[in-house]
Amino acid sequence: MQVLTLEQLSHSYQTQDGRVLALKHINFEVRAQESVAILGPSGAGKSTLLQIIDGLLKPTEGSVYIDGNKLEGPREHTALILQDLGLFPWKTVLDNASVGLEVRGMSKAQAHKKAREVLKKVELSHVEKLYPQELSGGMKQRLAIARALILDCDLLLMDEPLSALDALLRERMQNLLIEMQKEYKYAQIIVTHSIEEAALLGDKIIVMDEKPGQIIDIISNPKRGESSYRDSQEMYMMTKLLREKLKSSLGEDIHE
Amino acid sequence: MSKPSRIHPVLGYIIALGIIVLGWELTSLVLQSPAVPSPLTTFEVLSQELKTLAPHFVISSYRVVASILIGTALAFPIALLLSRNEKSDAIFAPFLFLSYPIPKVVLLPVFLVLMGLGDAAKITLISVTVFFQVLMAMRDAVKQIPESYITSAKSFGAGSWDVYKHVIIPAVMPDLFATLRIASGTGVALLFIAESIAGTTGLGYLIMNAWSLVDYPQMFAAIVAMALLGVIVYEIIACLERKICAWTKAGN
Repeated sequence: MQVLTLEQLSHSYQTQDGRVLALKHINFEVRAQESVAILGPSGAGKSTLLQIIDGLLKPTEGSVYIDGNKLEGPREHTALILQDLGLFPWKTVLDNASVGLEVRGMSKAQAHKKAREVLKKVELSHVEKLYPQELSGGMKQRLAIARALILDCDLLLMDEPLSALDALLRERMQNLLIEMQKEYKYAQIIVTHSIEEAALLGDKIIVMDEKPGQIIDIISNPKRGESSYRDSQEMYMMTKLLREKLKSSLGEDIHE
Repeated sequence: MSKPSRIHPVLGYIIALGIIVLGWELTSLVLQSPAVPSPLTTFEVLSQELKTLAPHFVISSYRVVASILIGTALAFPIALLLSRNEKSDAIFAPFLFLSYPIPKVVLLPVFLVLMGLGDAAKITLISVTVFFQVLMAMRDAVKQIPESYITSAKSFGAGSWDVYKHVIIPAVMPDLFATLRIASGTGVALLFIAESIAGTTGLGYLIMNAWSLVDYPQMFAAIVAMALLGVIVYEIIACLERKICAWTKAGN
């Protein structure tokens, strides 16, 4: 994938109280190997947006293009990590890692072979026979990442994947996401509530408003890839800027 | 804090069996009725009458196992299809809700008239009962599957069959086995009713025939054989559950 383009994308759905506009006129681009963070409050339609980019939902207006081709359904090289990770409790770690390849027609033996390579990368080889419910929170996250990496994805979509982790583990997983993206060279879009996470993981940060979900600003974050960025002044300034953007969108006084 | 010590399942069964036999012996002693012979008398008759009991045990086993298999084989795919298709479910759900509460045993005379006194009527009665139990339980079980599992599979590019194979079928297996364990008890109870009313084979027939002949030791021996049949069917289902749904015990 060279470029993902969202053009005038809107989405609404029917409820008992009538039609609800979830997303309004969303426009942005994601380039190859770029890391984009989508930051916004609950109800901003961020998860819906990811499902549309994954091809699981059709937008009611506008379109998603990948390299100029209109997206019509799930594509082979896009992977999605859900908020609750969507790991199957009835499959072992090895089977969870390989299920995506099996669905795509690869034999079980071949899929297992490839899964073992990826599990080694995320340091889960020693637990391949366990079930997800026997893993720690961090291990589950790594398994979810392995399930995505095995698909040779060039676009990884993540819907608040780290929200259930404690602060230190979250920091380790953020570092793992940065390392994996550098190594596997995919583009990624990460939806998050966390201002710090958005500043840390996004080359570009899309700040969204709620009801309907719409973009209020797209902020470039060129220093993100530099070493020791996490503790830098730039990181602090970026989080401050993002906080102000979010507060202003909620109508709060930013000079408290 | 130390873990609570657990009794080995086999030891648990032995202890339970010992308590049941002791209770039975005490009941027999207290009642002093020929209708409740002591365990010793019953086991003596059981060993003496083994040749008489065995063919009845085999035919009863065949009827109950065949019924559970037929009822499940018919209900399981229908439940999976209905619960994933809102339009079909909306059409068929009222039929289910109306027909499920009807006690199927009242249909036995109809089945006997239509199919005669042989196996067919008895197997049909139990199959229909198991069918509705499995259908209702599986329909609900599929609806309880978290949508994130299905979204996750679809994001891999899974089609309908893949979603069934990798998500829906394995996810509902624990509920299926729980339903079958209950259905096995219902099945054996219905088997007794069906065999005692019609025909000259099966443990149900043997129990009622011995009762009418006032042969209480043989009656009780047949009752024990029927209880044994229930336990064996239950244990086969539990054993399959342990094998197929090992993941439900993981992490506990």
